[in-house]
Amino acid sequence: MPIDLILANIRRWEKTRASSAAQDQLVREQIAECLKPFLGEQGTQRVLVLQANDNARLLSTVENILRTFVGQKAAEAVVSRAMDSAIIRS
Amino acid sequence: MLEQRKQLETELVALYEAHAPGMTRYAGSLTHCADLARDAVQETFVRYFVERSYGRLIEHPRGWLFQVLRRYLFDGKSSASFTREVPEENLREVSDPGIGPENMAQQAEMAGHLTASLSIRERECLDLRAEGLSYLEIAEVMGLKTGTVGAMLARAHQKIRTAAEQSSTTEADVAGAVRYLFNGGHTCPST
Repeated sequence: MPIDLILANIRRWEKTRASSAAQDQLVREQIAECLKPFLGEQGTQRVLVLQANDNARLLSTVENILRTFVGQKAAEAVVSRAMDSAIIRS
Repeated sequence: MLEQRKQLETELVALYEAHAPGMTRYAGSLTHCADLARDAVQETFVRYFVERSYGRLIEHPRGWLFQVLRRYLFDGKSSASFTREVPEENLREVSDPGIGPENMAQQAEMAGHLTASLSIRERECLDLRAEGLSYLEIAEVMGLKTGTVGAMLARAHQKIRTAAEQSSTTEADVAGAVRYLFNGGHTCPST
């Protein structure tokens, strides 16, 4: 069943994520890159520090902030690009 | 945390059941390769799970899934490799089993004419519409304006009507040709 394959891939990804902080770190780095042009170095660090212990809300928080600067569609596209980079590099 | 993960998995399975067949057909239509289409669909669902795990809010999952799938396919292949060819072996799978070889040949020929007359983007619009996506969703998936989608679909329908009127085939053959066009049972071309 293809869905079983998908779930197996997800479990593998979760295992890798749980065993090392590298995956989360990579996502945060990519997110930081896309926030910097709008918030600057310090502002970006501040947002990421606030979200340090809550990866489960990281993207929605970042998307909300970006929306203020570039609008809904562009914010979605920027976050997607950041995730593209993070996933390709991992 | 565990509860949230369970919810996410349930959400994913429900989306898979609802959209995976249509996504596979769409990917097959773009790539003419069943293996590539299946892999792309799987990657898209894994990606959905990953992004949701990091808190991404996805308001319109169907549009999002098709959009990510399309991006995955276009990033993975050069656009030049997306052809308008319709594999001939698809015909047997979609035709009415009661029709004879002559009608089958007519339907194949008709499908060839239709394919040649439609642009790649018109064909893609029709594929997405055939999967039930709204104009707005198609616009988001293809990165177009909704009005452009409407215009492309109208042009595509007009081309199909014109092709049907100009040919000597029956309505049933035209319908068969359209089914032939949108069949998702693709085999990988030997490269």
